[in-house]
Amino acid sequence: MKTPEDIAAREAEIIGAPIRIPPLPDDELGSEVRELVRRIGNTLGLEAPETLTTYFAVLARHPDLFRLQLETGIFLFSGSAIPARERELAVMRTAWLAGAPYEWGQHVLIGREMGFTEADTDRVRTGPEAEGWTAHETAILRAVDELFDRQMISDVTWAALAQTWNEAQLIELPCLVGQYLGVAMLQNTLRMPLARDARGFAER
Amino acid sequence: MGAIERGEISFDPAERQQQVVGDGPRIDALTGDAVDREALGLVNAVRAGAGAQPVTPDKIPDYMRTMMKHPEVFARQMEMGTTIFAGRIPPRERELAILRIGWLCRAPYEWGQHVDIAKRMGVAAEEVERVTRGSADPDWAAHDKAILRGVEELIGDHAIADDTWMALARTWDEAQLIEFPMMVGQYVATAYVQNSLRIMLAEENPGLTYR
Repeated sequence: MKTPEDIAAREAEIIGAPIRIPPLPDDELGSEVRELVRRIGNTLGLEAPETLTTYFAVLARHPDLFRLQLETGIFLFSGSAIPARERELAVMRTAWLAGAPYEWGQHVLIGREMGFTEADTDRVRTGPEAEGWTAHETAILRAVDELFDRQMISDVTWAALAQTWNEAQLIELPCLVGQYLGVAMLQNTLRMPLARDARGFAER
Repeated sequence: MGAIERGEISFDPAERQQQVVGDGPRIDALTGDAVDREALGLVNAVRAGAGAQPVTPDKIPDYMRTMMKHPEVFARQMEMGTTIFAGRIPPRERELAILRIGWLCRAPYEWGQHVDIAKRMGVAAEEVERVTRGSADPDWAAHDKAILRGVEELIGDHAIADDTWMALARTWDEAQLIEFPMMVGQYVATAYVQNSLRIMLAEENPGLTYR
């Protein structure tokens, strides 16, 4: 997606039409889902955990997947080995390459909390070739691009990552990219509308 | 977005296999005696879910013993795998999709492993070969064709097109439709990990030449 027209066309393709499967109404949430939301809301210290986003309210139609997605959230909260800022860099590039307006917009906002500026997120769109990345950041972005292009991290990029990261971090990266690609595929396919106040690809 | 591959893809399987698993693994697997009780418990819970007998640590596949070097990721992968294995999409249809994923990701380990699983779940030997020719092959039944098209679109365009979605919705309910892209993402992730870590093929897995 290089031009503003490309970007607008992709956003229209993905969310220009109504959601394909509507969220489950509040009064139809099963006890299993309610219990999970309460438990996880407590773990994460949320104030009103019972308020579901549209994404989770659609997933509630498949309680097992609902549970998996919540647990992924907990994993990122407490089990991830990759520093949060580096993780967000990989996730933003994944969302961009997946042409995923929902995921992109959401993770730019998360990235902002970790100190990424508008100039940084513009450079994420350009990718590893953009000027100004550190060697380690370049390697992270290149790994994401290689996974999309040839479904494997190259020797050169692997060696660059291994200069900074330990084995657990190296194992986590392809897994993380694949997981967020999966979320992008699901949100794109469902035509998940942007959350209120969210701006999709316009977010910087 | 990339191209959507609906037919045969041009690559040399032997060359790809050499690239992915020709050298040794990038991260050595945990040795059997370093496998803790918790990790062993996860492995055997997954095996029980698939109807297989428990194993001793030295018999755990390299793939799992490598992932155990990140215990939290390993636990997540096992949980995802077990849930999807017991998911709403019928096993034969799931395995048909996974074969196309393994082929499009040119993933020797995933392809070879799932040729066996697919056959156990009712995919015919002739259909395994046909998966390499994609949804464009004229011999697929309508629903199988829609599944393959869905995989091809998710990998090439990261979304499912309207006509494919409608074709899937003729057979699948909402929960199955939600599960499908998530399941595809999970097996793409597995291919990314197995390819990138250069997980060595198990003895009974010939990789991309397997049919």
